[in-house]
Amino acid sequence: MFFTITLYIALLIFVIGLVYKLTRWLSYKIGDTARASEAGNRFGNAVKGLLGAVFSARIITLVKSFFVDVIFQWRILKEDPLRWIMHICIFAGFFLLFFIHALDYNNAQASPFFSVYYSTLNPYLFLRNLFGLMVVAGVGIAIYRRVKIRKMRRTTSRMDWYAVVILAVIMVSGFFLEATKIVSYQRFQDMAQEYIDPGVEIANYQDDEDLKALMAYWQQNYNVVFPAHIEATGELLERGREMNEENQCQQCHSRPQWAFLSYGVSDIIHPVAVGLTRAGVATGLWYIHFLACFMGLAYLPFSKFFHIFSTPVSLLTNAVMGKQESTPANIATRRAMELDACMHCSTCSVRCSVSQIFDMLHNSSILPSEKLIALKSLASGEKLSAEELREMAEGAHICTSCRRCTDVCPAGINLQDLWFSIREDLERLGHPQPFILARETITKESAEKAAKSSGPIRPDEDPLRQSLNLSIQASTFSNCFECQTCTNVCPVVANFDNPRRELGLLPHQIMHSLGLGLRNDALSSRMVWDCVTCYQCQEHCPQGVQVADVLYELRNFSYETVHNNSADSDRKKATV
Amino acid sequence: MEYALFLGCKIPHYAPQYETATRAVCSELKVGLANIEFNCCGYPVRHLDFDSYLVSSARNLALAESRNLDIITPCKCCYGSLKKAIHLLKENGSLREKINRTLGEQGLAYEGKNTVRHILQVFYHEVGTDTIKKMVTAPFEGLKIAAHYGCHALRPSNIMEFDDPAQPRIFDRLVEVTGAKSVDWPLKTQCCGNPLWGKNDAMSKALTEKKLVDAKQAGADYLCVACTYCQIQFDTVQDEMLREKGRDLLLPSILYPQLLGLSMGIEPEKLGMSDNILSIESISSFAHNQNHSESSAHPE
Repeated sequence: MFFTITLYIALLIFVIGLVYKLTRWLSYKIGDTARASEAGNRFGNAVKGLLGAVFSARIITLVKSFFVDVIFQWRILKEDPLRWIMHICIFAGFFLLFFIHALDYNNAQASPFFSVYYSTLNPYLFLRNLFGLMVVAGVGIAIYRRVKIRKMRRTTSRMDWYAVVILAVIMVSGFFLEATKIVSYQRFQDMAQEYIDPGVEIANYQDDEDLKALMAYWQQNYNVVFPAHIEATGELLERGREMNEENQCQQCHSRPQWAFLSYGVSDIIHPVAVGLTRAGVATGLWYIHFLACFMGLAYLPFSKFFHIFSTPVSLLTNAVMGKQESTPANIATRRAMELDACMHCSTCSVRCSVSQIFDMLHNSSILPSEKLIALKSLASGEKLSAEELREMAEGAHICTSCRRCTDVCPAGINLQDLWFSIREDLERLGHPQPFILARETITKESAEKAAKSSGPIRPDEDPLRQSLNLSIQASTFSNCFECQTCTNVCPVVANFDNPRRELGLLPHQIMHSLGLGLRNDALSSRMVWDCVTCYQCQEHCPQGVQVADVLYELRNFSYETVHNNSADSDRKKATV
Repeated sequence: MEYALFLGCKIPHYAPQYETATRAVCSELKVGLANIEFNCCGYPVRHLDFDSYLVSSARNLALAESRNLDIITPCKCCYGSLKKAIHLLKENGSLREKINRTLGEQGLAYEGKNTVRHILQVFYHEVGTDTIKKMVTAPFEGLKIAAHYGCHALRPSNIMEFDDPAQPRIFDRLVEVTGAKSVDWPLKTQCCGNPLWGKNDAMSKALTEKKLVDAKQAGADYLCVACTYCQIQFDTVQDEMLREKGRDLLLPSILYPQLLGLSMGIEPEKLGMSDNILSIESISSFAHNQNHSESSAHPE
């Protein structure tokens, strides 16, 4: 009764969760395309798109993708054979367990797939352990990889651990449950009362030779542990074997050694088997086992396991959508769906061309897998702080759009499209690319400060000069004798009829300002940001002033300032 | 000779023909190319954060060094970034230590044992124009090329060590080996404008247009480039510019390995000729013997 009620509750939550997720696919707006007027009627467009793909030549692509990507998971194999083994073990093991075991919740005739089914009979007895072993092996490999591989370890989240733990709990409780049932004398008595005689009491075995024989046989061959060990002679065991046949026990009971893992566990718990049986541990494990399953079921739509639905959808959808023009509505829906198709497998982050920059800037939004998670928050309408948005913008624009992540994603997600969408959404929220953010912020602030400053110039006190030590020693600023060669070879300056008006201070003026300690004047110049880095200035300077490198450092300094200000203001807001 | 081929971030999806053509030509010239999965050279991020740039370049150098290989690259921006990193890490011990600490976490180390070469350098110095000339079986006739040196490989010359910064020659010589004439044009060592693309599009396009007009005025039929970003600028961005202004084509841009490959008789498909945005098919009108066959079309 309790079992049935909890099952239905779990199913209900599961279905509600599914529906909730699916409605998000039809409502989340990601990127400019999704906000365009033609992006309405998402459901209608999706259905049209689906039918259009199925009833056309593209059905071949869909079928091929189904077998290659969804069932065989070739993309994972291509990436890493060990990962493929891990996933196939979990995937195949769990699904096969689901069909031959989980669906058998009322035992025997309740299962829709098998006519003669008893869980204690082969091949089910053996297969259950085999498939369970597969899952355990897969989970073992998964844990090993998460812990061993540095690039995965650093982005592992609670969701990742939940997925592994829930599977482990289900599997381990299952094996231990079976083991405790194998050794249980209580179960023996219950079965004897049900199938031989309701009056059977194993405590009275000394008075019943037949019972004693059967018990000895089961103690010997089925690993049951009775409260008092039964001395078994060859004759007794022979009689026991006959009893086993006469009472038709063997019709439903294959030798438990076939359940090789559980049997092994039953050997291990042998010494304490009687105590465990007396304490009813089997019942406790039964509760843990099925409640863990139901919890997993109810929580499925909200956990990584939702990918069993969303990832095949992503693989199949992207197999056909890439090859042709898609309607804005379908692009919008696909993007929302893709957010759920991500399994946080970190393949994208491991292969990312700019992942080493994460080692320097420590901004997780630089890594593709974390960008996707941040996008989930953004798309859900969650209110993100200015610093979080700045970090997202930084991550979105440090990405060089090399598309390697998109090429390797085992879920077939069009990641590059999502990254472009992040840029669009952040732009809309007033967070442009870091270069432009720094340019607009610093030139404006510096101009204001320069206008306000008065009094004598004190170049030696300016810390900026001391910090520009990568490209130039502070003293070489004084080498500049204003020959203006740098300005005269600059193609950007040459682009204007009135360069001072358009660019502000010109290269030689910037160098001189820095030499005088007039930091704000230098940083207020647009020239710092319109430099095309062609190095003509530095090449031609007769005094060895590294003009282009100084301009690079001014940009770095500006960006660091903006970065620190943003982090500071967020911290201040947090403490208020 | 064998090098580790460093393609950079843009070639695979934005200029795949550059890889195709480079591999085809290197195969003929017996330049071995090893494949290592590199990361970004760090050129784009250098505007934001210096350390991020340096660790990016250093990691690539360390990866190649672990296989005892020098790096060869078709992109001049990547060349510039990697070469500068080599210089900085050699000169500055504390920087080297800092970077190696980070690389050490991934089991990598950079010891300054290898170098980086641009494909033009390898063709000119290691292979040699004499060797190449012998393999040019279908030299061009009447083709005038404006060789675009660009900026990041040339300057700052004391670090880049690519060519004479004021009177560079190796690209011109390599162009001439194909039978084409390399025209002299005033803006040939000026930047193509790509570094400002995405930051100040108007200025970027203005610089590009100036170069194209200058090259055309010098009498060139084609621009020839040996850098991914330059190609993107003169191909993709020129295409956008022309459509915006409703103008006719100024000058199409061909990648050097494509030019060389054609003159060596390699099939156009093997050089990715159809991947260029602005068509370069018309270069076949300058092909060898085109003017001598009886039923040939008149050269354009």
